[in-house]
Amino acid sequence: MRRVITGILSLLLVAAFVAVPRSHSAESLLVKVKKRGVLIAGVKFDFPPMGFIDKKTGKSAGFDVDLVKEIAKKLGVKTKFVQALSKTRIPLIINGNVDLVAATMTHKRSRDKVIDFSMHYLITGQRFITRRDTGIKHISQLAGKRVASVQGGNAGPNLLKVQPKAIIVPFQEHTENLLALKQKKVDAMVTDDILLQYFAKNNPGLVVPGKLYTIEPYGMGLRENDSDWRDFVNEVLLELWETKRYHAIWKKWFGRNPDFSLQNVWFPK
Amino acid sequence: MSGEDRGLVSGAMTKIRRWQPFESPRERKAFLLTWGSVAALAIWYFVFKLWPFNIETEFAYQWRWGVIWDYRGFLLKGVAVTMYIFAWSLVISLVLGVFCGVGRTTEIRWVRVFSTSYVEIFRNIPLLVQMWWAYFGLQELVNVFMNEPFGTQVLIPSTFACILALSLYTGAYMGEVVRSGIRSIPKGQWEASLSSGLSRYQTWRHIILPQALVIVIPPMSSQVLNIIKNSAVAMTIAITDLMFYSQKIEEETFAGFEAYTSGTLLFLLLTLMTVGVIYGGQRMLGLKVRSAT
Repeated sequence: MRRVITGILSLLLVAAFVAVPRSHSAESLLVKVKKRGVLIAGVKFDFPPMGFIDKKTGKSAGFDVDLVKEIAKKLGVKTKFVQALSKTRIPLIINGNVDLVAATMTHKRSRDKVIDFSMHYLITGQRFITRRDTGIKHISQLAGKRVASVQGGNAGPNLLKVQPKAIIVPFQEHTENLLALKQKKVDAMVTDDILLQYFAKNNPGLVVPGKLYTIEPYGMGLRENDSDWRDFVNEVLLELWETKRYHAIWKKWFGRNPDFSLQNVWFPK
Repeated sequence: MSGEDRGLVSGAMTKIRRWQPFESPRERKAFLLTWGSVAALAIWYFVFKLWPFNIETEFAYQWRWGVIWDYRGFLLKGVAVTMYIFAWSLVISLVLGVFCGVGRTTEIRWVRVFSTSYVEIFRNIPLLVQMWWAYFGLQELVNVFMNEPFGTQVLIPSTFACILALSLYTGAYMGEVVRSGIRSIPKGQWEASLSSGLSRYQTWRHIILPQALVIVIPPMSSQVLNIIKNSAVAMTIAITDLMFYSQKIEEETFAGFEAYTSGTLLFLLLTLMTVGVIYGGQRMLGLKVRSAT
C-alpha cells in the first residue's frame, strides 16, 4: 500500500514539473545571438558543394556554410555548425537547438506552418541520377524501379507525384544512396540538381538524364514568429547580392556565374 | 512409463488447473490500485478533456493527437514489419544461442574454439556496424566474387541483411547466457549420470539441458526483448519498420511529440506482450516469477 501511494505521488510530481508554466521568452534571436557571441547553424554534412566536411581541415565547408559565415560576420559573432539531416532540420529549429538552418531546405508552404523562412537564396530543381548501364532516360521508365531518396526530404514524395509507380527506398544520407546506386541495389536516385551534377562529375559511371521535375527554391529556416531575426537575415542576403559578394561565393563553389537572379525576389530599399 | 517418469509436462498440467494471475492478495490490490488510477487519469483527460495544470510552452505547442489516428495505417505497417523481423530473428538466434552455449562447454576441442570465436566476434561489434556490413559490405563481396565474374544478379535484400545481423548479434549474447546456465548445474549430476551408464549425448539431452534451459529463462527473456528494441536500428538500411514510420508521421504532420510518443507506446506494447507470454510460460512450467524459490 505504501509503495503504491509513493508511486502515485511520484507520478503527480513528474506531471507537476511538466506542467509548470514557463515564462514566455519574447526576446528575439537577434539579441540572443549577439549576447551569446556564437551563431549556431544547422548545415548539411553530406551535400557537396552546399554543405559538407572538408577532408583537409575536417571543418564544415560549402556554399550554405559561407552564407552563414557572412551573417555571423555582420553580427560580429563566431559560428558553430551542427549537422542537420533532412529529417532533423525542422525539429532542430522548433526545439531551439540551432538559430538558423541553411541545409538545402526547400521553402514549402507546409513547412512554413511550423517555422519561418528567409527569402530565397538559391533556385534549383529535382532530377534523378542513374547508372549508365540501366538505360533509363525518362521519368516514365522509372515505373516499378527502385529509387533511393533521403528520408525527410521531399525528393521521394515529389517523384511519386509525377511517377506513382516508382518504389522509393529511403536512406538516411546521400552517401548511402550513392553506395546503394553503385552496388545496383537501386536503379536511380533522386535529389536536388546541384548535388546530382557534383556526383555525376565525380563518378564517370553515372548520368543525369531527363529534365527537372520540380522547382526548388531554397530558404534558410528560422524560428517561427521572430520578425526581427528574419528581417536581419533577409537584409544580409540582399546586401550580399547588391555588393556582388554573393556572386563571388557562387563562383567559388560552382565555377560560373549564378544562373538566376535574386533580383526577381528581392525588395528594394 | 513409471509414475516418477512423468516429468515436466504432467507437473505443468496440474499447475495449470490452479493457475492464478496474482501470487498474493496484496499483489492483486496493488496492481488494481495503480493501474486503476492511471486508467482513471487517462479517461479524465481524454474523455472529459480536463487537465488541472496550465501547460504553457515557449512555442505555444498545440497537442494534435488526432493526427495519430489518421496515420494509424502507417503505424500498423511498421508494427507488421517489426514483428516479421522479430519472429525470424527470435527463432534463428535461439537456435544459435543454444548450439553456441553447448558448443562452448563441450569437450570436443574444435567445436569449442569455433563457438568461442563466434561469440567473441559478434558480441563485440556494434549492431549498427554489423547491419551495415551485412547490407553494404556483403554486397561488395558478392559483387566482386559472384556478380561480375559470372554475370549473376544476386542482390542482398535489406530484410535479409537485418535478420542476419540481428540473429548473429543476439545469438552470441544468448550463447553466453546458455553457457552460464549449463555451468550452474552441479558437477555431481554429470558424474552421477555418467556413472549410471548414460552416454554423453543422453546426459545432455535428459539431464543437463532440461535443467539449464529452465534456469536461464529470465536472462533469456531480456535478450528476447533486446531483439525487438534493437530492430529499431534497421531503419538505417531502408527497412520501413515502426521507428521509420514514426519518423515519417513526424515529417508529414510536424507533430513530433505525438508521433514519437505513439511509436514509443507501440514498442512498449510489443515488449510488454512478449514479457506477458514469457511470464505465462514460466507460470505454466510451475515456476514462480516473483519469489526466490
